[in-house]
Parts: sequence; structure tokens; C-alpha cells
Amino acid sequence: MLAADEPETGGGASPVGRSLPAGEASLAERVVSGDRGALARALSLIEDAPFGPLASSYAARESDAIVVGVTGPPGAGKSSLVSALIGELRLHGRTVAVLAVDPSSPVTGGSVLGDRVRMSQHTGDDGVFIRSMASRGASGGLADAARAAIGALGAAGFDVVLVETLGAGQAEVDVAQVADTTVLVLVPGMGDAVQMLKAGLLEVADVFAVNKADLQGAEQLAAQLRALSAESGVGADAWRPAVALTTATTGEGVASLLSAIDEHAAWADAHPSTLRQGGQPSSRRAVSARTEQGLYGRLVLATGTANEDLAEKIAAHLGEDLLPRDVVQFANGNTFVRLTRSVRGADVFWIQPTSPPTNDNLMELLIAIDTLRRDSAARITAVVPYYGYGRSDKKDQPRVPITARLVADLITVAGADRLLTMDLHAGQIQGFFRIPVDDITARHQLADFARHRVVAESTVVAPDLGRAKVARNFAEEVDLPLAIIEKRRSAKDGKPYVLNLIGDVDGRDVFIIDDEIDTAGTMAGAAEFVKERGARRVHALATHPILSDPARERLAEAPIDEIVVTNSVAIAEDARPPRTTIIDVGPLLGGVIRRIHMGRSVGEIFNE
Amino acid sequence: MSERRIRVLVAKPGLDGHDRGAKVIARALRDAGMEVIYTGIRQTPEMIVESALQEDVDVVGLSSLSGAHMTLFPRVTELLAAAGIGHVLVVAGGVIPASDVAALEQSGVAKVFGPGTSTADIVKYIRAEVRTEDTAGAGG
Repeated sequence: MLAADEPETGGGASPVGRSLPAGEASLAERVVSGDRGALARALSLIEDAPFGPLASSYAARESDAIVVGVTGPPGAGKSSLVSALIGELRLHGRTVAVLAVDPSSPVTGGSVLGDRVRMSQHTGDDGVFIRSMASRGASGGLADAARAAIGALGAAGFDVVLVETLGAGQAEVDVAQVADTTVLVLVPGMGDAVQMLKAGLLEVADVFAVNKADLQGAEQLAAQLRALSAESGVGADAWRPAVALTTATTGEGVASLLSAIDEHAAWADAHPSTLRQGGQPSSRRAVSARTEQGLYGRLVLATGTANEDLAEKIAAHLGEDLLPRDVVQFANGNTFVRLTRSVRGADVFWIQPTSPPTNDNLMELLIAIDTLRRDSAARITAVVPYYGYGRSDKKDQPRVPITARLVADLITVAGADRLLTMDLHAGQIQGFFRIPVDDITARHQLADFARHRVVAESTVVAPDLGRAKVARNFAEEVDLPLAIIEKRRSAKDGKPYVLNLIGDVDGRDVFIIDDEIDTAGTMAGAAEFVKERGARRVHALATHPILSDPARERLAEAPIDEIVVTNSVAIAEDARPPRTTIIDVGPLLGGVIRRIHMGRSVGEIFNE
Repeated sequence: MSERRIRVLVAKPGLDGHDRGAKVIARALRDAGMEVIYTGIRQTPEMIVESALQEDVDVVGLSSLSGAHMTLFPRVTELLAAAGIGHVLVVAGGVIPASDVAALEQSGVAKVFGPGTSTADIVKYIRAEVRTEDTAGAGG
């Protein structure tokens, strides 16, 4: 699944998510073959770009490894217990990878990762691989890259992946979303029985480890946990968390802890519907929905018909299901939306880019928002990865509308509380709304991809003056010089024609960047122009592949070596131009949705 | 996205148990925004190199106070090269007589920081060295 995309064939049901730079593909192969250096490198690439193509492909991977999360308050002895578990697993000949997460300084971004200290006896054992990871600003007890890193460790063939979180507080329950089995490490003397009933960390535990069992009060704590466990769960076959008494330093009780973990894993396999659906590593779905409750009720993801594939990828990233609904077009052309499950009191994200057929997709979005509002959703966020009519944003000639503003009013009046969109044609469109707008960018994903293509003599090119700012930011990010094409539209036939080039492309590889490729007139024209001026390879990058006619023909004929776009807009297989790579922005949008839901900073993802 | 962070492994090879200096360095590098993996005391060169490989670090910082540096440090650089990660920058500190510095640098230790070196100098040195490596490696 990590093989390089073969652009010429264009076959396969889903073109998205398979596209990786060639260098990465061989890296992925080396990871699978057990090359520890390659695995280490892959983990670094994932950390540096937790929403990049490599990370996305690993995050979506179904892993054969059993993933065990080990969490608990600071000082409970998590690292020592992990080390003891490694020893126990190795006794049985099972291979182990460890992902140990420690906090990053919120001030400097630096960190001291000290978990290896307690595990150093296992360094040098070929069946063990230990990797430290800094949280890099993520809250929830794990790093943003953790899910993908776990996927990579699974791909490398380890039997068990142990994930040690940073010292967790009661709300830091992320680990339950990535682990098959979550072990909560507690120690005696941390609070009375009332603490136990508190929501949060206690709820996500599949197995309790009462560590430092030689201390006074350990038996009492274990008894309280057993009582709590007996009350938990509904139905006869519900899992009741096991309790193990351990002393990590001597290894006492570690064997029975491992048995409890294996027992839970076996139970989970036998009860797939209560646990993992579609193989997504989201262990306690029911619990996670409850503990993940944000400011506006539970999270509900729903999609219109414009880009269901993207919606599925977002849902997969979040380990959620899409809301069941019917979207019907009647014979008279009227659109009808019906929810088959209530969203009363929920925090709903409705995914619908307003790409062509723009009017139909927009109308469907408005009707969906009205449907949600009438079903008493607590908050409605319109997720519009591509904002149609965005180019109609000013009166640039007499007697014309400003449709981008009209659409903003329509979405607001329909009842949306919030808009999440991506790479707006003009950032000012945010100001057309009175509701909050998150305009995120896929620039980082494109830049991550471009970095693998950059040769020493490369230049970023803005295809027109309007794109200069976007191109400059991109050039800065990939650390390349910038050239700008000065282009003017002919008043007569509306076709762009090129006038001038500011900067140098002679003998250089160029990366032309635009927000969208519509009819591809701009992109094809720019490619021909830089080629005339002596450019070598030409890469065409854009966020939104609108690809209206005759884009496919134009791009096929233009001197473009490679086209890179995202899946913000669905591309029909027959409209896909040759030599095209599609970057999956599902994980990016998923990450942002999760942050909006939890009331956390969105800018954090983008280092803002 | 996240900018690339410099990753440093701080290790104490050999048998001396005093890691106060190593911890001061770890903290200074952290405060300079680096990600420091601290392995603790009594590490063999083999353990250090295996950790460096797994953690994919840019820099290995070695500290020794026991006088065994002439045996242990060259062994680390040798094993790094054998593991295919000879590009990792190796810096050293601790109690190292001036007369040994040239021989250590000959053996692949990039720089030896003696007692009294300011942590700011070490940070500056690592940033400069790793930065150069990075740009060189950015092509292709």
C-alpha cells in the first residue's frame, strides 16, 4: 500500500493516499524489510510533518501489531513498567516497539526525553526498538504524529507496540484512541475512592496496573478499582477492566499484567463491533465519544454528496462514523435531505466543498444546514474545503455582483455557526462572514511534497501578480528563490496572456503554485512561458483541482512534468490529468475539526 | 508544519556515575529549542550507537569524567560509521586533558568542549554545524 503512485496508469478505485514521492516509497519498503535506520528516518519525517503524505499513509494503515497504551499520572512508574513489560514480552519471544512521549517546552519548543533511561537494559536487543517522541505542543497526552508513528512501527513488523504517554492528567485520554488496550498505571496514596468515580482517564482504562504494590495501601486501591470495574459496562459481555498489582522494579506481577492485556486483546477481537470498526485503531469508541465531548456536545461528522471520499478520510482519521443521511434529488430538481439519526445537542460538522456543479452543491449545503438546525444541533460548522464563487470577490468592473459575499450571507442565514475552509482565493472573504471562519492552508502539505522534488537549482513561480504573496510564503517555506509572472487578462476574449517575468528561471526547475486549477489556462500558460524562458522541469502545484473543461487536455499538452493537487475537491477518474499526484488533506481537516470541537487552538497545527 | 527540530542524544559512556554536567547540557540544549534524548549513565558504546540509530539524532554528545575517553569515544565514532550513521555530529565534554583533544578530533569527534565552556557556545556550535548539514542534505 505504500508503493509509489504510477502517474501514467491512473488506475485503481481510489487515487488518494497512494501517492508518495519515489524516495519515500523505497523508504517505506526498507521499513517493511526491517531496516532500523530506515524506520528511524521515517519516524523523523512523520514527526516533522505529522499531516504530510508519509504520515497520512501510515496513519491510515491497518496494523497487525497489538497496540498497548500505557498512561497514568507523572511518577506512577510508567517507564519502569514499560521496561518490565518489554522484558516479559521478550521472554515469550515477542518483538516490541516502544513509542515514549514526553512533553515539549511550550516556551522554547525544546524537550528532554528521558524515558530511555529506565529502558536502557533493552538497548541492543534486536527484538526491541525504542523511540522517544516530544509532544510538540499537542495536548491530550500524545504527539500529533503518534498515530502515524504507531502505523510505521506496526509496518516494521513488531508484534507489540507499547505507547507510553507523558504524565497524564484526568483529561488526557488521547491514548485510548490509538491503542487496542489501554493500561492505566496508578500508585497507592493518590486520593480516596471519590477520585475513582471521576470522569476522564479512569474511564478509558481497559486494564489497571496498581504499581509500587509493595507500598502501603496498594491492596486497598486494587480493591476499590475492582469494585469500580464490577460496576462498569452494560450488558453481560461488556469488558470489565482487569486489575493487576505490579512492582516494576522487581518485576513482580508483570506476568499477570501481560496476561490481562492479552485477555483484553482477545476479548476485543471477539467483540469487533464494540471496538474497532473498519479496522480503525479507535479502541473505546463508545467511551471516546463520551469523554471526547467538546464544548457543544458530542462530535458528529456528516457529509453531502460533493466529496464523500474526502469525508470518509476525515472520519477515518478521527475514528468516527459518518452520520447516516439521505440526500435525494426529486424529479422536479428539488433537493431533499433527511437525517436517519438525530443530531440534537450535537456539535455537527457538515462536509461539502462547493465545487462544480457549484450551484447544486451550494444549495445542497444550505438545505443540509437547515436540516441540522431544525433537528436542534448545538453547533453547525460548514466544512467547505473549496469555497466556490470565491473569485467573485470584488466589483472589478461596473455592473457585476460580489457573489462570494452573497454566498457568505446564504450560509450564515441558513444557520451555520462556523465555517471551516481551505486556501480561500482571497483571505478577505473571511470578512464577508460575521460568524467565525477558519481558513486553513494546504501549503505545508504541498511544501512537504515539494521538498522531495527540490534540486539545487530550483525556483518557485507565481503564475500571476495576485498569487505573489502565496508563492512568496511557499518559497520561504521550501527555502527557494521566487519568480513572478506578470500576467494581464485580455479584455476581449478573457484569455490570459503573459507579459513579463520578474526573476530568473533559466536552467532551473520550477514549482508553479496556485490556489486552484480551473480550466488550467493560467497554469498551462505559465508552464509554457517558463519553458520558453529556459526552465527545466516544471512542477504545477495547487490546492484545489477544479479541472473544468478543457483542463485535462490543456494540462496533458502543457510542458508540465508533474501536477500536485489535494483531494479538497473530488476528481472524476476520467477527468484526472496524467502525471498527477493527489495529496490527502483528510488528516489535516480531521485534526482541525477535532481542535475546533475541543475548543483548542487551530493555529497550533500551523505553528502560528 | 512543525519546523525540523535538532535532535541530540546525550550519553555517558563508561563507569563514572556523575551526570550532573550531562544534565546541565541537556537542559541548556532543551532551552535552545532542541529535543534531547537522555540515556543515563553507564552506557556502552554499542548502546549509545544503537540509541542514536533508533532516535535518528543529528548530534551525539558524550560526557566522561573517568579518564576512559581515549578508549570509549573513538569506539563510538567507529560504531556510528559501521551502523551507517557516520554523518552524526559527535561532540564531547567532561574532563579531557588538552593533550588528548587532537587525537580525539582525529578519531572523528568533531569538537571537544572542556570545563568552563559556556553552554551558549555549545548551542551556537551545534546550530551552525547541523544547519550546514541540513542545507547540504536538502537536495534530491
